[in-house]
Amino acid sequence: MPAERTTERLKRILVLVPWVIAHPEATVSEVCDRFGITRDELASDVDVLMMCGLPPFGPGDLIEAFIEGDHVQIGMADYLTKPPRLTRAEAIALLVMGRAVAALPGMEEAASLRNALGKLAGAVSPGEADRATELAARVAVELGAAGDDMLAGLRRAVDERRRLRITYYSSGRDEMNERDIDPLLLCASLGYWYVIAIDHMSGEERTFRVDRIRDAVATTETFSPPPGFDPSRYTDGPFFTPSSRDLLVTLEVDPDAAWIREVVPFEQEKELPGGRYRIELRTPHLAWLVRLLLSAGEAARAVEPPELQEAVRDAAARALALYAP
Amino acid sequence: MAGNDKIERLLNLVSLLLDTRRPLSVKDIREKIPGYDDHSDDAFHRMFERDKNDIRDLGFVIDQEDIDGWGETGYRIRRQEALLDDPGLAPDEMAALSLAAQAWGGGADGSLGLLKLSVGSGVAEPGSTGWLLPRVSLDRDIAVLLEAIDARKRVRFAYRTGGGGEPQGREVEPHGLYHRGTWYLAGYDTARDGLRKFKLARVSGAIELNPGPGPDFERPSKAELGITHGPWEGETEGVARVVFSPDTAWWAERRTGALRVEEREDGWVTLEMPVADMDSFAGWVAGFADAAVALEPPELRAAVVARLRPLTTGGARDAG
Repeated sequence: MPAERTTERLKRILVLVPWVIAHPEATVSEVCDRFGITRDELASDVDVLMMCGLPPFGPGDLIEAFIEGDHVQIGMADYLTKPPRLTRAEAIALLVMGRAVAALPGMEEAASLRNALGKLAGAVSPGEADRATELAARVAVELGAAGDDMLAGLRRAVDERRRLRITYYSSGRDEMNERDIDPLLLCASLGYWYVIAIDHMSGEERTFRVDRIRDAVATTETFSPPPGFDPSRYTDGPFFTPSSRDLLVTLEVDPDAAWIREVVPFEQEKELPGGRYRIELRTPHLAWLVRLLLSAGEAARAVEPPELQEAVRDAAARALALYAP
Repeated sequence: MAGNDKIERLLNLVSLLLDTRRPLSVKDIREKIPGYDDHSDDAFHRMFERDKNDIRDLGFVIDQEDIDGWGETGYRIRRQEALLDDPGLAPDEMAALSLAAQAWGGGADGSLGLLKLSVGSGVAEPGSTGWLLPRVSLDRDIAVLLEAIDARKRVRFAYRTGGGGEPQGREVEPHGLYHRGTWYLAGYDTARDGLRKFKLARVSGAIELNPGPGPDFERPSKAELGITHGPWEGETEGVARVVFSPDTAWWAERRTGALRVEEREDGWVTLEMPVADMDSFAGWVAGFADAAVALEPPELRAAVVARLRPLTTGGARDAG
């Protein structure tokens, strides 16, 4: 919708103008980075600005705006030297997220963050502050479940580049083991925290779920991140890229177990009569699927491969044996 | 470019309304802003109404006053109330706020807000880079729901339940929003006459706001979001005792916050925990296979057995 683009663009321009006036030293690429725009978009914002000003729009009434060399110059806009106050939506975004981050375990920045949040009330329009606070109290964000001390300790290890010895429960294989890891990055996704690390057991970059680390002991060794490690790859959470070596699994899911379709990263899905679904996925391990199918009981079945069917039968029999009178 | 005519007109109008010390009449404004005068009276008035709405969308309050004692309306934006004075954030406060704002993906609300705050306070980069916060998207549905919660308006949407099937229409008085990996709405379901929570990923199509002015409902003074981590949380249906193998007990204990009742000599640990939904709790226990055994209550044991037994005989019940 062009109408929406216009107001979104104007919102940005009304912040960009005072920001550039207050930071004359900023380069074009710094301004673009900061506002998340391209050089062309900045240039067309500047084109708009130089056509605007106050009546009667003589040469002395127009905003002065141009890009010279690597810098943006904006002047003759005394009425735009301050940005608009925070809108309710902006205040809520900062309040809600700020509170969620301040509540994370081991956040050294929590005190600074709480002080900053305290100053937001003065930054919204008078009369909006109470409403924004009231609304923010009705929105909660939880960043991820993890053992409190564990997350704080891991964050310290990432910052200090310290090698750790961890006892880890591997859900895919259903086993506990001990290994050394070089923790590179912590990231949260879909309600869980993960640590991306070089795993000395396999020699590869691996993802570990933080709540499955039973113990982590700092070793005396430090490490350097491998060249070419790119944290931005994980911005949207760890991706489990299926490999062609993985097993192809087919499940059939009844309506009562529709939740499986939300927790399993499937590649294909086909609707069957009666609200049932057939889903296909690739995975290197079957153990986690066995547990999933035990949870679902009769409402979901393994169609392929036969070893998954067999593993479910065996696991169910072993579990049932424990209930024998 | 046609798009630029509008943005230039709006920027000129905002500038004029911010700059003026006295309220300006519609006639004044029409004369002063390029683009207004080359339209018929009707077209101009429609245009001016739309422009005022757009300016309000930017977050400005347009002040309206009677300027001549005869009902002639004058317009202006009070600079003191509309523009942001430097809130005086210290560098560490700015850095902490940048860290928090990183996480908002999608909508620019958080980051534009941060940029406003940084005009007077200098620029701070978030400190540690060893840590990526999850993207919490603020999409259009969230904006609509925030508006509905704020204005106490009912919302309507089509919803698929966890059990699958066709989406069904729901009418909800929205009380609050909750994000854990994905967004949930908590509110009062008018047809079912009770508090419910809705996973927004299961909403199909648009969320519609009840039209009409004024609030539609009263709500509890504090939002009961009622979102749980698992079948051991929520309104309690009973207390369960489950014994876990040495390899899994630590995890179950950490995850559920259960009470440790006993550690046996062989390392198995008995945990006691409240249960909100006995049937889904039985599924959770069954998922541990032979690494957990439900001890009490008897109906939990029976439910776990009932879930496991058919699996020992079956295999592929061919779907055909």
